Amino acid sequence: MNNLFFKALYIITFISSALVFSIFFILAYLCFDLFSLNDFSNFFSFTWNVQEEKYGILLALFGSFFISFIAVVLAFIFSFSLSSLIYLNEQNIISIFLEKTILLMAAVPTVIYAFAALFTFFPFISSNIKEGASLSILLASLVLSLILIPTMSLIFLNTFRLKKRRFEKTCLTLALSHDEFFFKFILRNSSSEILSGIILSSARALGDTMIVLMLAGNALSFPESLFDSGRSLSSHIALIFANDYESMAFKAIFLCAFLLLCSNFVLLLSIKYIKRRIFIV
Amino acid sequence: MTKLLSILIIASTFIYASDLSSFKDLKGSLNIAGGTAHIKCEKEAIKNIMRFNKNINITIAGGGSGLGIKQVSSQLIDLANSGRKPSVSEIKKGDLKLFRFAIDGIAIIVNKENKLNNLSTKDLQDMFSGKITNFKDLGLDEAKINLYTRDESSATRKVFWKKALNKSSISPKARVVSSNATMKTIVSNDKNAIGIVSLGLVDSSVKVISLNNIFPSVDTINNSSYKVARGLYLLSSGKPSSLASAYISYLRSNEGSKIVNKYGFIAVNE
Repeated sequence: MNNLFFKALYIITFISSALVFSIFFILAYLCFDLFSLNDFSNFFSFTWNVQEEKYGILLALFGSFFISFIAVVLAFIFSFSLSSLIYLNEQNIISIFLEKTILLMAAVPTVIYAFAALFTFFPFISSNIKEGASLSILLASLVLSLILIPTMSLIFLNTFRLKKRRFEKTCLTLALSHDEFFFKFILRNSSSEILSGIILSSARALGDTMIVLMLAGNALSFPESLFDSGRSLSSHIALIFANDYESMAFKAIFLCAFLLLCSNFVLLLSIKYIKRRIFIV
Repeated sequence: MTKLLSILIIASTFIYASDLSSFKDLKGSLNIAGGTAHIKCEKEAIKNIMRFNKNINITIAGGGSGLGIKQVSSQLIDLANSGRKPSVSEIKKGDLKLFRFAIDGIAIIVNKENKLNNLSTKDLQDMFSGKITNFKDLGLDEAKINLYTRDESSATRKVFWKKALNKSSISPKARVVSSNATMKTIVSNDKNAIGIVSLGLVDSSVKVISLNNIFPSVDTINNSSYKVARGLYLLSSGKPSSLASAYISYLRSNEGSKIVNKYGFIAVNE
């Protein structure tokens, strides 16, 4: 029975991995047509203008990274604070409430966040932070960070609890206080998991469509400040999807999707590399 | 008095039933998608049909006219909503049949607090091309202009670009919104906004401004003084199914026309 269960697990793992790689290879295959074009470099510019037959997607690629980076930084600040607070005050009513809130946040669909932000954050930023501010990179990153907080916080919190279970007895014999144990032991030994949490959240941020589509403004110009509008690869795909199948604009979707997937792969590989270099060697 | 009332109720039931009677023996489902301007009006028609005959299921989704045309051409949906006439190649490729049921204006909207009431075509072109970036240049208080437009596959954008901007450029700094409803929500929350929306969807949350001193309304569109208008179409790939035909006929019937007019469109039957 046990053997059968493990065999089933292997099969499911194989199918899942095969699916991911097939998506990657199918996208690469669909991009072949584009590689053979004389003006392939057209795609690697910052100008997207269908009327002028300019299909540069670098602006959207840059937008994806920029919005995700800010969202991840914001989410990290909140997630680290929240998970530390919950861990240091376990059994405290506020900690229990915070943990339940994080779990509830994970259950809210992204479209609800985006929709709610249009009526709350949007007027708040334009009235209190910057007069006349509109849909912007800052607004999208701020709301995107909210969907990253549950993922990041729960990874951090589980790591802290796991380390606690593993090393608590040893540390008690050293007569370390609860706080000392956390700051001097748990945090120092959790760097690898914290980094994994950040990377997983970055991948989630890169792939999000709804929040960025609704809140970043999707302008086709290079943002000069956080209050300017930007476009991400995922929202670019959503916005140009309605173009004619034969058009170059539609074909550019495959390249956008391929780059998006590559970005995630590079992100995951880089974390493996960093973990090996910094935390093991 | 009671008798008269009963007669009136029975008579009105017959009149009401007559437009829906074509659905009497029909059953099945009908999937509609595309232009977002149509949705609010068609939802009411769908509600009437599905209440009349419980064996009929009609779904309606947005996505924009471009997506609707593409999906109906690929026969992924039964009918597409489009706010523009498809191009010759689109008609040929998808074997599209066109059914116009309404005329809709495209309104230029600003936030309710904005003092702007009128724009000339030149000012509008300068605003949307990014030459004018501050309301001060239009004689109003100093405030940065936040431009909003629709995505490239939107018929609202295409018609506005052609008929209001006379094909002049739209600044890449303009923020792009993916539906009429979102446009309205954003403009109502942004004091410095200027955007475009289907006239049928305008309500008190936003302020409509005149173009060259002509205010968009059913009358000005009807007498052709307000030029920024377009047909609202239902498209099928090949001959529409009996359910789709009944749906199109209903929207063009007396009852359907009342619904169409109620939402600020002008009902047509051609």
